[in-house]
Amino acid sequence: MQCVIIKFKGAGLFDQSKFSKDKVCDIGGMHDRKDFPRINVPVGSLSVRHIANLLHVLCGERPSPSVRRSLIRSNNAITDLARKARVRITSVTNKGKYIPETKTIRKAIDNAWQTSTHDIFLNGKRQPLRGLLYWERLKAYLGDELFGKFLELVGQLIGKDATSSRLENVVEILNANHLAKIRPFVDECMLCHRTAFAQLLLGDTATAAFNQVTNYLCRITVPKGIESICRIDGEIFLPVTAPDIDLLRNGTGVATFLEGGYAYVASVEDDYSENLISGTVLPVE
Amino acid sequence: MNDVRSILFKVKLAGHGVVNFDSGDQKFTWNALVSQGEKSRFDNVQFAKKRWYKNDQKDKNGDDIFDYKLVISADCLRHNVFVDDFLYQSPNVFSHPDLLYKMIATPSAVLRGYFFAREGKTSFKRKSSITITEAEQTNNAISTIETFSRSGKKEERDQETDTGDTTFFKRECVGEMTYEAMGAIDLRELQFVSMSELYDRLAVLPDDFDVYYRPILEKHLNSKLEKPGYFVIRSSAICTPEFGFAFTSDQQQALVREFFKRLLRTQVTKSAGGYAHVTEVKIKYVRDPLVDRVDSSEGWKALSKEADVEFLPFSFYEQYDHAKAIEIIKVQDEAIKKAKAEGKEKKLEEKKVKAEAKEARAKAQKA
Repeated sequence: MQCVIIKFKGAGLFDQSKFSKDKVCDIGGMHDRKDFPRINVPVGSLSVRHIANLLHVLCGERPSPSVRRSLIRSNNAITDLARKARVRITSVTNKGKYIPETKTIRKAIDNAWQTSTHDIFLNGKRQPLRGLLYWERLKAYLGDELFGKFLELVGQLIGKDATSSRLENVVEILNANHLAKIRPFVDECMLCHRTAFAQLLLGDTATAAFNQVTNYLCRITVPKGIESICRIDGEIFLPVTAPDIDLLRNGTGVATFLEGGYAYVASVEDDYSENLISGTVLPVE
Repeated sequence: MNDVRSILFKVKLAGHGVVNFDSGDQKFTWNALVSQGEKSRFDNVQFAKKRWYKNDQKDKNGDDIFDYKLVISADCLRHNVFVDDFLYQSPNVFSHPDLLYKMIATPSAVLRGYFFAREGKTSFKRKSSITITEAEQTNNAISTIETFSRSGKKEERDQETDTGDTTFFKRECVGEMTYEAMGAIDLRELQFVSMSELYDRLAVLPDDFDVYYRPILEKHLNSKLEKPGYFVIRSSAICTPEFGFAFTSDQQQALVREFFKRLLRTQVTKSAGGYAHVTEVKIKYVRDPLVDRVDSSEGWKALSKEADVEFLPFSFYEQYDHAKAIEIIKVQDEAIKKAKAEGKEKKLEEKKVKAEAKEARAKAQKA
């Protein structure tokens, strides 16, 4: 029996976090990651499903998702081959755990609103304002008609060139000096469901977000975040027969493994011996 | 000669200083693995990304000695290869088809892949055809932790006694550096764009193909895209046809050249002063996956300009009879609809169970 050695480098495993707000998408819709099934793999080994998916790609087949719902069924011959594989993880561990690193992740779902704040001076004290407020964003938030009325009001109270100043400064001036005169405009904002800006002008609260789900121009969302990930390197020893070798010739010889890992066929040994697989373990189910 | 199935590449980089930092949490790993004299008791330390290795020797107490090599992560490399096109990725583009297709109908998006999802909407997904490893240090440079200061203006703050913004912090520093990374372009992933949810990889909405996607991508590629149809993978045991379109041989070559053009000019710069740039790229065409391997030294050739990339790609996909495909797809569509309906039902059920549990908890608390 021959042995195919597959090496992998930088294969990422995410830590399990019960606080994760991550989502999983499959044909059944979108689900919370924390409530979704997870493949727990002990340190020093891999799961049969991980190896089976890798072998599907290396054999020119489509991998079938391990825990997500899908119409793709796995190839049983390849899954059986994965069960016979032996694994050797070469990455260093610290106190029985892989060494984690921090990774930037780009969000696919725009479901996180910007929460960073900066100070604005209202009603005689500093208040935290959520997200930057500028003329274009306000225009998108208020709509053309209401924004036009606001510009008119600002022109009357502060001067026509007020729009060349920063909007946040204009709001501070209106709040400090013209509170009574802006009251009708504030009421109109309330009527038009633009409460966040009305409250800001009155100085009641500045933390309300100027986000409208339907208007992407005034939405400020968080496009990326960070996550802890462990990168592992290792080898997979695969006892193969001639038909299995032919299957492997259908693929491309390389594949992505786990999160961003690089797996490739490193060598084909003539003999699947005890010496060769010394120090290896069987994958877990 | 057989057609090419994938293209392997090796990249050498050279530079100065650290270009990829990790988070402050690395102090726990650092303090656990370095020798007593090198441990850091500070919180504000910027550690470089690194890989740890066990040394064969042991220290005088019999404990393991660990060595490390600095790395530029695969994500950092990938970001800098495509930095001209994807400075950042915002899911906001999903709000308007104009914005979305201007982003995804580009050679870089076709090469790099993307994923956009929204509750209640079909998600768009394309797997990257490029796999790249982290670039690991190849020279013997040793990093040290040095002290830096950052000056800031004096500022009165409410309820704070500290009025200065000047800070001291520590950062890992290193001198001249050389790195090496490797990777591959998977031509099977590259040559087909799925326009079906069947295999969970809908990359373009079929209705938007002629209106948005085709004109933009044709302009970028300077050639006409093939008409979409039903395709199956030649070698696959699963023969359910998938709707989409395949790139022609010339278009695949153009896309691969586009990638190497970017790779050859890749520079990683850091405002902290570190930089690294690509000095050498070697490629190898894989015709037989078991013969043309990464570890064998034969077949590698140095690449100095993208125009030198010339190959005949293997055609992994073949067109399926349209009438037969429609029949099969009808059955599959029913299955997808059923799965979606079941998913919705399951979600509603979960929500109901959660609400009931919440109500029960509230009642118990009241009691």
